[in-house]
Amino acid sequence: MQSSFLNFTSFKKAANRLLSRMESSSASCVVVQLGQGGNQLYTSFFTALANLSNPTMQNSGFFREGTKGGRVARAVLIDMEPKVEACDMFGGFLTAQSMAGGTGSGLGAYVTELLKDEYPSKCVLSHCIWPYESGEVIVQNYNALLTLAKLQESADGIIISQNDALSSICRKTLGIPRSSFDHMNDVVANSLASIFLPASWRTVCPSERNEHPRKTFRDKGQYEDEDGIKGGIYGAGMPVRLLSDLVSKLCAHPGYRMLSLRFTPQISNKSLNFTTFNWGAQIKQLQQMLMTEALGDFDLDLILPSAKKDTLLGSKVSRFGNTPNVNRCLANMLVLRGSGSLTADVSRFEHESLYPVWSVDHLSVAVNPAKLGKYEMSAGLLCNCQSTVMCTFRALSRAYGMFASRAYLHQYFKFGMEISTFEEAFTTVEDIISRYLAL
Amino acid sequence: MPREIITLQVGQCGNQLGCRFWDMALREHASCNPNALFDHALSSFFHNVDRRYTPPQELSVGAGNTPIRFLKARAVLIDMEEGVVNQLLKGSLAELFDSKQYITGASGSGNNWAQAHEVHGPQFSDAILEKVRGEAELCDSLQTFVMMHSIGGGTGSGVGSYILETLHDAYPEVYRFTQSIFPSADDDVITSPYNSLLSTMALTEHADCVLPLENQALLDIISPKVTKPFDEMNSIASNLLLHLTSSMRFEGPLNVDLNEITMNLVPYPRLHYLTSSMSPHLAVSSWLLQLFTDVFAREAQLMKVNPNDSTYLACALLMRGNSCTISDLQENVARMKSRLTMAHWNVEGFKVGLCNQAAVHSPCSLLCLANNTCIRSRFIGMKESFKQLYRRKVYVHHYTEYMDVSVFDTASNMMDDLIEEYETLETARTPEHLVRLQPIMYQ
Repeated sequence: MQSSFLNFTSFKKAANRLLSRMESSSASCVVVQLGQGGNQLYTSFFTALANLSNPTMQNSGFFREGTKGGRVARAVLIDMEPKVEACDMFGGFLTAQSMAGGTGSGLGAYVTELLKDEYPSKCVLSHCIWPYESGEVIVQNYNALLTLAKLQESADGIIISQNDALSSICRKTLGIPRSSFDHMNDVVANSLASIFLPASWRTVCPSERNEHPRKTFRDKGQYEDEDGIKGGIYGAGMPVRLLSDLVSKLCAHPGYRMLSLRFTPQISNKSLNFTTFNWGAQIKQLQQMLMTEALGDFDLDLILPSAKKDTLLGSKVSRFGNTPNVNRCLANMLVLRGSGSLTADVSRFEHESLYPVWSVDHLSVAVNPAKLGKYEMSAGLLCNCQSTVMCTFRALSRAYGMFASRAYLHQYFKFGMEISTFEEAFTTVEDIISRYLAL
Repeated sequence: MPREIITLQVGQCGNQLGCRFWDMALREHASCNPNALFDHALSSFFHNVDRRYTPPQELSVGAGNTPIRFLKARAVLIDMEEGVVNQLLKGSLAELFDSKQYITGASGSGNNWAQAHEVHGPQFSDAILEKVRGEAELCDSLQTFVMMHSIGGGTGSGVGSYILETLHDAYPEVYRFTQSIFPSADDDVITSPYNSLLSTMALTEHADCVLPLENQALLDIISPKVTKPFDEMNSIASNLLLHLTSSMRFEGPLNVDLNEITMNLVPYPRLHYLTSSMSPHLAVSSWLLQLFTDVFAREAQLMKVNPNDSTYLACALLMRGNSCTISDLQENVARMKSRLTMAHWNVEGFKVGLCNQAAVHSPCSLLCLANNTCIRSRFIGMKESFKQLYRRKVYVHHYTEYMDVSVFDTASNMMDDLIEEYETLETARTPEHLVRLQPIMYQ
């Protein structure tokens, strides 16, 4: 841990060198890879970007022209030895880290904080890999909670990818019984690519454009579909600005910063040739993926005082006529890629039971008629929803148990932390959980 | 980035073990380094010297394409007799060491912890520190000292204890691992109860992590037909060290460094005794399921203890060989977990590691390190045999010649505390109600 901090000065130098070459444009972002998990995952991501994007997308914000004409990933690699690739335009930072280990979690939280301090006007998005709940690192719950508490203060958004969920996608959907990290990283890389590759905003309901003027505030640019339909008809427009648009659409409320990724189609390469794509089915599948990740048998008694729980859940039931066990969202961003994406019906994601009454502008849709790699049609979803609360809650419960037995604390005190550091982190996380449960 | 380990071989047992260890370490690297290049993996245990110059020139790892000139072990050899070290320096491994790396006395420690600790320790203190510093200066980022010794004899236990204290003082940031041979019930050294009790005091206070081994356990593992049982036993002990460090030397999807072992497996600072078990020990086996079942079996333990009857405070499972994936590990951990008693605050207390580079003897092998309360049964045994001797005050005069008799009482009290700490954890039950911080509701 200490040796990583020693290297931090060289990281700062590198970051400064990198930023001095940037113009104040908005089209690109810098990826900061931290620790083993972060480095492995984003290597997959850059490979996926290179494979999935077609020539027209070549200048997506994550790459720059290399000196020899090839494309070079704009990434700062930090795993003891930082390397830097230059960058000419800049919109924000995307940090990649695992929550379990030391470098990713501890240094990751520190770097995020520092980036936000140095560049307060830029967005910092943290992509965190949540460890297997059955344990990769024994102190993972301490590490994850301490990190989350720090990120809550410094990052604009926290994307959480859970290893358990990825492993189950590999097993159940892709037919890989013994998934390795490579397989799982590929799944995340696909979803990330579908969100982050170039796209343009469109209105949620094309035909109702005039009845919902609120949703067409970007109605300036012209968009041309491959069929030659002028995008202006649909009020589509501006390209998605990396990170800043994401943050303003999804993480407008400072108390809600936890994001999760979903992607269809999840099919193996083998069955790709036998698959017929259609928007209706894909969007339905995606919506079901979102809905079924409900709180399930999540025991609310553990966290909510019973009186408050009754009023809370009671009010929910009466207001929405729905069970409380729906994965409620604050905001969703849907990215459709492939022909017909401009006109696909996404009204499923407008269902009112998904959102609390006070949330406005909760669905944003971006499209690109170009297909994503081999997928004729694909849909990516980045949501600010309750589904990340469950793993957080379980980690917190386990951490309380360990903390009560005072186990492993001496390892943290050695580096100057105190009991209160833990208690503050636990408080922040309790806060996050109760906010999300109140959605 | 290379992270170096300096090994310290202390006493007869430590040097015999070290002799085998270096042989096997060389074999392991030879098997996966066909071009004889000095790479990062090699630099953990060895440094590369060009002897065509005077003084000999150090060759760094560089871009990974430096050829091997002369490999030198990052080791310090210490014994109060000349026999074993001389044998080592005459043998085929002699090239690995030079005169700057060993210290021998002439008299021997006579199986007496007090003589070794109070006389030989201070006497050779400066020489030992100087040789350790010489090795440390050749390292880019020294991470760990590994000491090999037995705690029943004189030099290994007494000088070993002294060295641990000195290193703790001089290199507080560098981890101190020990591979300690604990005496068996029928030990050939009659004063071993005294020596081991006094050594345990030093191990508890000054080591970061102790890997206890027991001759009887090793002897039971090897086949009775083997002609050179000590070689085989030393091979097992060496394998343990090679396996433990494989993940920091070679690539793998889930690396585990030595500092992660101390971090994850030591929930309380004094309770750092890790029982170990491996599968397969020496023969080839490739059946994954069997490996996991085997490492938790009583017969595979390198100590005569039964972890299955006691509580696991934490457990590490380190896999070598590229045929195992992370989901295999998860699946098998889940399978084994239901059969084990875990501490209530650490139900998910498994640290897992995956290293691509297989061991020489098997394409797939598993090491299990456990912080288990069963180790206290050995401590109780050691305390009992100590009491039997101490009650009659036999041999005590040999010790009081060099130290105050109160040291025995201090060590004995410390042992009681240690046993009690383990017992408290063994019997601890899940508290009825855990206090949670109560958030203010938002609505």
